[in-house]
Amino acid sequence: MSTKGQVLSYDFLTASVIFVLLAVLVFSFYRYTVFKNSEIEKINEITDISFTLSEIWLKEGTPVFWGTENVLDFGFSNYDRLNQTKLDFLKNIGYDTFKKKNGVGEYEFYMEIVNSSNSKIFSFGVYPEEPEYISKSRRLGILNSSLVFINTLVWQ
Amino acid sequence: MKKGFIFTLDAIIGLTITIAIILSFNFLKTEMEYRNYRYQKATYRAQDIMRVISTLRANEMNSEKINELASQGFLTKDDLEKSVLDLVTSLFYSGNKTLAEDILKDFFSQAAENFCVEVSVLSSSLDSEPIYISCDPSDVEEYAVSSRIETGYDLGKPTKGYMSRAFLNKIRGKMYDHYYYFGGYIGDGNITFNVSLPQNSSVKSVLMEMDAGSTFNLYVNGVYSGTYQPYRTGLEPSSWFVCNLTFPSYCTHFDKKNNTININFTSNSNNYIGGGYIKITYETSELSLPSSLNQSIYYFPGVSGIINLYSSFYSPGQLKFMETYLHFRNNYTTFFTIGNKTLYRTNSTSEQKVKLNNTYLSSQLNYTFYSGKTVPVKLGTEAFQIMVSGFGIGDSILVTDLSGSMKWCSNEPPGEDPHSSYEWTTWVSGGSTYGGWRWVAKSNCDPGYERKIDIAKRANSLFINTIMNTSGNRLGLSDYTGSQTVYNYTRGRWVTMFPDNMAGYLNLTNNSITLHNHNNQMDTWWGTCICCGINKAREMLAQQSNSQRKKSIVLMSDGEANIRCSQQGTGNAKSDAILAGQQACQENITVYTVGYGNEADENTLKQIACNSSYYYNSTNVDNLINIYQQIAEEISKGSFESQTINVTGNVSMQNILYPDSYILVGFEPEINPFDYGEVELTKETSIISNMTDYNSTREYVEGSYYIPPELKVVDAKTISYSSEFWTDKVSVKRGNASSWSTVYNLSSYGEDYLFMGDPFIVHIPSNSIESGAKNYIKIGTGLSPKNYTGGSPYDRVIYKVRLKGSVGYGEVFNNSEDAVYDANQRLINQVSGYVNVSVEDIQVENQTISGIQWLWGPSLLRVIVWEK
Repeated sequence: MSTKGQVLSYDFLTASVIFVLLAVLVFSFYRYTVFKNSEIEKINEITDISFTLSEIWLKEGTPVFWGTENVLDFGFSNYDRLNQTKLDFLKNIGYDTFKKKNGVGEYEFYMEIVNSSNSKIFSFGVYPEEPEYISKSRRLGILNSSLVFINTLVWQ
Repeated sequence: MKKGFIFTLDAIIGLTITIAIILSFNFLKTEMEYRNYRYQKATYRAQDIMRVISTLRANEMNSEKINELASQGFLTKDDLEKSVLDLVTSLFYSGNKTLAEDILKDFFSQAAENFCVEVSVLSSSLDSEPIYISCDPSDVEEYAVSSRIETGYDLGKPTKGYMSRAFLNKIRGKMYDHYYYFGGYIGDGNITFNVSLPQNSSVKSVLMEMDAGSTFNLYVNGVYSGTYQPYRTGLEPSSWFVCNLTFPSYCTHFDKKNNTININFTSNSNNYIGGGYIKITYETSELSLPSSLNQSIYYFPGVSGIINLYSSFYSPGQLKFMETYLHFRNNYTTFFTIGNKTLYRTNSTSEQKVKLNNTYLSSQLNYTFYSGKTVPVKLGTEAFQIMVSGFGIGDSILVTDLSGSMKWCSNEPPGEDPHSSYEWTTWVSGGSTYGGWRWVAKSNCDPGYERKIDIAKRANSLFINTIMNTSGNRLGLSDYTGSQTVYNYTRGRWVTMFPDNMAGYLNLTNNSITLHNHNNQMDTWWGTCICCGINKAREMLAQQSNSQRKKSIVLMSDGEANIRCSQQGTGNAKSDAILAGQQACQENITVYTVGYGNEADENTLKQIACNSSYYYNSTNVDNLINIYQQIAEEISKGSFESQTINVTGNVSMQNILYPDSYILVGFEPEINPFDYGEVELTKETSIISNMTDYNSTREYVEGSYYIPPELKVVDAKTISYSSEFWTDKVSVKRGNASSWSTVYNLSSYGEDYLFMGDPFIVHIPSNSIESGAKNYIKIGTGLSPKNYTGGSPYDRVIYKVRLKGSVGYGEVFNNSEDAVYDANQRLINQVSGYVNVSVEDIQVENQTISGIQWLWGPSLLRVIVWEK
């Protein structure tokens, strides 16, 4: 009897240990997968946004020479050159309005124009301080007759 | 054994569970992946590089190489204005690949960053060849490309060169035709007019073409310049060279500026010009003549004789202002008409200087209606003892009484004539011999008297002459009598002669000889069927005349109507005659009646005439002849509708229209000012009968003409020889247009042309003429809207053109001399044949060009980017 119960006890114990181990393993793996997917999704999304924003600096917009009152579609270049006047409008438009109208959503962004020596010429947006996620897009352009780089950072 | 089996079963179950869990791990592992943004980034960088090097100018690029080349003078200011891509491409194609590579190296040292870049070119003459490569591309699996098509370059071709365009600054000389146009009719007397020529002109030839009424002497600035005798008249003008290169002497009579020309007729009649012009051809170095764009002035020619002038003026654009100045002295009533509106009339015989100002004229005339049109003008003299003659439109029938009593002498009392007897007599007619009772001459009439038939025939003869004196009139004869039974000896039986009571008739004709022959052969017969004579006359007019002609019947009778007409059927001969006359009047036939002798039935004849004033009574020879003359003149006057006047009687010819009289018109200009270098020329087509598609009908003459494509027509007019008629319709059709456009229609001013002017030149809007295409024209003359007189085969179109005096940029040459030569030659080729130019007259604009989009190419430029 005792032998029989002992046998059962061993079996049960072994099975339980195996079950628990497997359960922990499964749960851990599930948690990791969900977390990782979320992170990838965010990074993809902010990368898309950073690319989209980087295009905005280099296109003309609608109207081609828009003002703050009549802008339908933002674009900060004319004749394939960045337009300083349009860039200056950004301050009037405001960060939040610009963000809302250009699909930045829950994220933040920061744009800076630097010259070939990496000296900042112009910036707009919120600079990322210890961001959880960040995507950077770097484009080439011409501002005031000089070659410049336009860095667009989208972050959370 | 059994235990072992149970264990084995557990193991299997456990293993299954384990596998299931492992599998579930895989299922749970649906982890998302990071997107591959490397290609996207490379693509952006390739696009950015292509955009920047296409936009950034070389002088904006921070490049040591560019600065070095610029300081060496290798790169010009124009080179530095090029885009980096333009500069690099032109250096590459011009064989400086290393320099192109160095410049790109400078650029990519700043712009490439973590990417590798290749810039290459591919053209029709070149396989893909790299200009610059920053890394070894052999193991590259993923790269982005941005391409751009460029033209203006090709291997071995110059990327810069010289092209020139040229403008005509002046001309060495051109032959210019200055036309002075006479109006449709200028008369009647000696004519004076002024012609102005440019200061630097040299007259080379003078041609006159006109319908002159008679021989005249020409005086230029008071100097005799020839006698000219017209050899054609009417719609066909005569033409003479006053002077030309072969006979230049009279050309020297012309001054370089103002010239007074006199046409002095050598006889006292037909002193008129029924349309024509004087063409003065002179050489000038002026590109174009100064002319007002918003006003024009028409000067009347001076006339010394009887003022009788038909002409026109033209407002090229919207008519805004008018002023007329009339300076004349006329011993008779003078009137002035524009369109159909008589604006001025005076019977003052002293010298008149009359200005009709714009206020008055604008209140009388519809300026809008006259805008852009040729407007007829008449300045004339009202009726005095002038017998008009010209083109007749009269159709008349002389209805003559050939009753037996017409054989009697004119002085005998009614019912008896001792010089005649009623007896059996024989005569031959139509190849047969007849016998019958007739009145025959028994002896001569008393001295000074004649038989009535002979007097009637003389009166008829005079009537024929008077009516036929006016060209166009026609006359017919209707000889009435009564029927009689006579014996035909030839056939041997009794027959009824003149069953219709008509002794004979002659259809309407303009042949005087035929009329006189018929008249001379008239003889007397039997009864008096007046209605028969009238009915025959009505029948002839109905069949041979038309509603546009003026119809009349002149009926003569020496007795009473004694034969009835079934056509009228009143049952009474006199009533039938009266009714026949009234019916003729209702048919627009003017019926005159003449009662001759004491036995004439005055009462009946008065009722036959359309109006009692159209009844004449004569009891003697002279009186009858005078009556016939009077009626004939009245018919002639009534049928006159032309511009000529023949002066008879005691008329003063001391009437003068001074040549400072004018019509000034101000208008909204529609002609563009001259472009720089444009040359003005006057050209003329061949005469219309030599044009292609020539056609001549009762209504008009028609033809087509071609304007060369290099000529821009700015003003055009047709000349129309209308003689004593009126030019009344001109229509034009341009190029392939489907319908005709009427540019002149005299009937739009009214149907009675007699009181309206007559243009010799009718303007054609320049937009109705197409260069480089066939253009059509129709010209018609007439006496009324429905009475056509055809048109002149000598009509033609005279037009002013502007010749383009410039050529644009041509081929690209390696040096400026070749480019200038090319431009000069192209311009000279363009204008030669029209003007005389040399290289010194031409201003050339020479330009260095490079990178012209259409010069060479195309080439495909590629920027290839991949990650390091």
